Amino acid sequence: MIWLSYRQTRLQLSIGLVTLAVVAAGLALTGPHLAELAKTEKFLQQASDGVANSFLYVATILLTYGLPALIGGFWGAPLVAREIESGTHRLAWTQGVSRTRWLAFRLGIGATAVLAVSGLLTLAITWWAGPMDKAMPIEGPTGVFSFYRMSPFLFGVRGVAPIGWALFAFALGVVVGMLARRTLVALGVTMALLVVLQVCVPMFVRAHLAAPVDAVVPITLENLRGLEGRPDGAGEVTLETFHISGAGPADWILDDETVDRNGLIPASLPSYVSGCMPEPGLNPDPASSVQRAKQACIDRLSAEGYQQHIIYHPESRFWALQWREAGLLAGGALLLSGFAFWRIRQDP
Amino acid sequence: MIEFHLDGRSGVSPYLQIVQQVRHALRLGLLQNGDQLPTVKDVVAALAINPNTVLKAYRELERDGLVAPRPGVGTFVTGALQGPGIAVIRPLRQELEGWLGRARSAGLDDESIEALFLASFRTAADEGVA
Amino acid sequence: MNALQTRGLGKRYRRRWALSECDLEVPAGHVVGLVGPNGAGKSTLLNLAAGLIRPTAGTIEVLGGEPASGAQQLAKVGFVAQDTPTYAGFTVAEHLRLGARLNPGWDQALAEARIAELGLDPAQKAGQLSGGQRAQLALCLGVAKRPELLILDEPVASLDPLARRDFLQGLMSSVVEHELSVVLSSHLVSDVERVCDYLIVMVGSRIRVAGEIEDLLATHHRLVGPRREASRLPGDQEVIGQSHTDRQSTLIVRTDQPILDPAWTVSKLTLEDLVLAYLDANRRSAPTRPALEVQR
Repeated sequence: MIWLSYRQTRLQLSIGLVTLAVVAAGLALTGPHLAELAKTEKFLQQASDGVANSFLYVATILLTYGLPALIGGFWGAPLVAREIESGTHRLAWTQGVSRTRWLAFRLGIGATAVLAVSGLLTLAITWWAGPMDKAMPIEGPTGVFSFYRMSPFLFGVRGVAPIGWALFAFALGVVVGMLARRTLVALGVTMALLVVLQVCVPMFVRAHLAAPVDAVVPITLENLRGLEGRPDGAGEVTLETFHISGAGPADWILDDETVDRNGLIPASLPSYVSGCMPEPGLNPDPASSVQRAKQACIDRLSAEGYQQHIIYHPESRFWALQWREAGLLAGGALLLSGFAFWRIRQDP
Repeated sequence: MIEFHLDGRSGVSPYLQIVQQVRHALRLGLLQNGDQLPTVKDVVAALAINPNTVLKAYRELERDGLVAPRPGVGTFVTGALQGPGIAVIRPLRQELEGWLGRARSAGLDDESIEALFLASFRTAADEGVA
Repeated sequence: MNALQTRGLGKRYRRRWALSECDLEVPAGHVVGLVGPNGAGKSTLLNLAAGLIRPTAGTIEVLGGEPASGAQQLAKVGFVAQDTPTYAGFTVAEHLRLGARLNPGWDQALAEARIAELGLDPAQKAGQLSGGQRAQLALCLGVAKRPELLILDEPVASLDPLARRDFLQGLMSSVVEHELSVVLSSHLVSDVERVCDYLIVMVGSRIRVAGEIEDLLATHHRLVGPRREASRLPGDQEVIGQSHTDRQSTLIVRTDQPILDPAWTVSKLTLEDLVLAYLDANRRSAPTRPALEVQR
């Protein structure tokens, strides 16, 4: 059964390994240099000057996002669907090995291959992108390096979450294949479902994997990020709330609102607060008159009791959240496998 | 060694066809005492028929004392068909050929001759049984 | 022991019964022919026996065990499915390897000998084989597994006459060599006539008649005589088929007793006549069947 499982996964496995080898080669060629460069100042600027670095940075993100769909569609979906479609299940399931055992081996060996390929890939990418991800909170967005690793966009392609995604996608593909009974249909449905899930999980699920920090913090020139208002219909703008970047710039903000001295959300902010907003982009001299005026505005704000109420996942929770997301998806994969074992005993 | 063949349209069951072919071969001297019949496996492989059919035919021949199985080797001819010798058959055949000539000259075609022969054969057989 | 035993066996797909009220008791040691028109439920019965699907009603036992109930049961039963599926991307040798890895009783020497006998190139992909060669490969897998019972679903349906003969020769050789019981289905009587010694006729998802061919032929007769209604026959004569002209009646009857009435000219049936009589009988009664199904 091991041989048969290997034989039937051979093509996909070799494509996976070739992809892995190509990516690994690209990362190995540039990675050590990046690690050296990371010790210097203005590292992100220098790194983004290298075309290969920028390309690899974007390409590995796209590849990691595409990986679940590829694994689910090309490894998972055909596993049972192709057998049923070509009628070979009648050959395979009437040999001297029970269907359950057959599925156990096919799933087990498939999952091992998925684990190996996705694991090596994501670890290599996470290692390679480590210097950039570490430098982000210090140097800020630079060139293509414009996402923090806690941001919903980058979180899913770093650490161990992609392994969870890959395993889940594989199991999902198998189950969809069993139900759809046609390889192409199963492939399409699996990919579509995965894309939907890849959008929904960061939007609705990830934030709840751990209790977020709920805090009221002072508004400072450093953390101030934006000011939100609403037209009042008479050409004026009612200023409603500030937006800040959390306790640190790399935190993942779920919610932030300006509250007054009573801890309540004011209907509107005083009009002078528009003068508190820092000039965009520059690193201004704190001693300059403009900057002093802004600081005075912030001081007045805090003297009047305005503070910011934020709900966020601090950057330090990155790995905890990673493991939880991977665990959740692996659990989902297990549930799907359980269903597959039930379904295989029914009529094909 | 002889080879069997089956006529699918004769209406005679396959096992009976095998029995008849062995008897025929014995009668014609194609098979003699001590000769081996094809093994069941060979017959089955050659004709694509059920082995039980062959076994049944061989058992019937065995019952008639014409053949005997030698375990592990095969089935061998052990007897000859009891019946009139060639000296008796020859004049009978000549008479029949004479009759056929007369029937033809009387204007009977092949089909009429066959029908006449079969009808007479059956009547004679019925009377013989009675 | 019975090769195949069913009680009240039924299989429903959504609303349609593909097989219903099937009672069978087929002793081991036979080559069983399962004949009937396409869609009669032959494949359903064989798939149930192979354990690929599960019954909706009733029970089925194959060689005394529940189909596909475990590795032991699976090892005892070989199955060559309809259209003889093989892995198109696997070579002939890889199919043998598959057989060897998946079957505890695998006979590699036998398998290799058969492949050599057939003149198949072990390195050839199964997808490039002809229909006949593929069927032979599937048969080889089924036989080299060394089962006690080999089930074949329409194995020769797609083969030309020569390949058909080759296939049946190969099958019968295995029957002699390995004392296999065989159940094979076909929609043509002529396919099974020579090779089988036991016949099951299926029509419209039901078993119409089953028994040793010799017994069936001995107990079915064609009666030709002056016109007479079938209802006026002795009670031990079951009428399977009848046709009447204004003067003459032709009946097909089943009876264990000799037919004594001198008004009848009694003749024997060929197997094909016998099967056709059952198929015909079903066609005549077909219009009443939906009503019966509503009552049930």
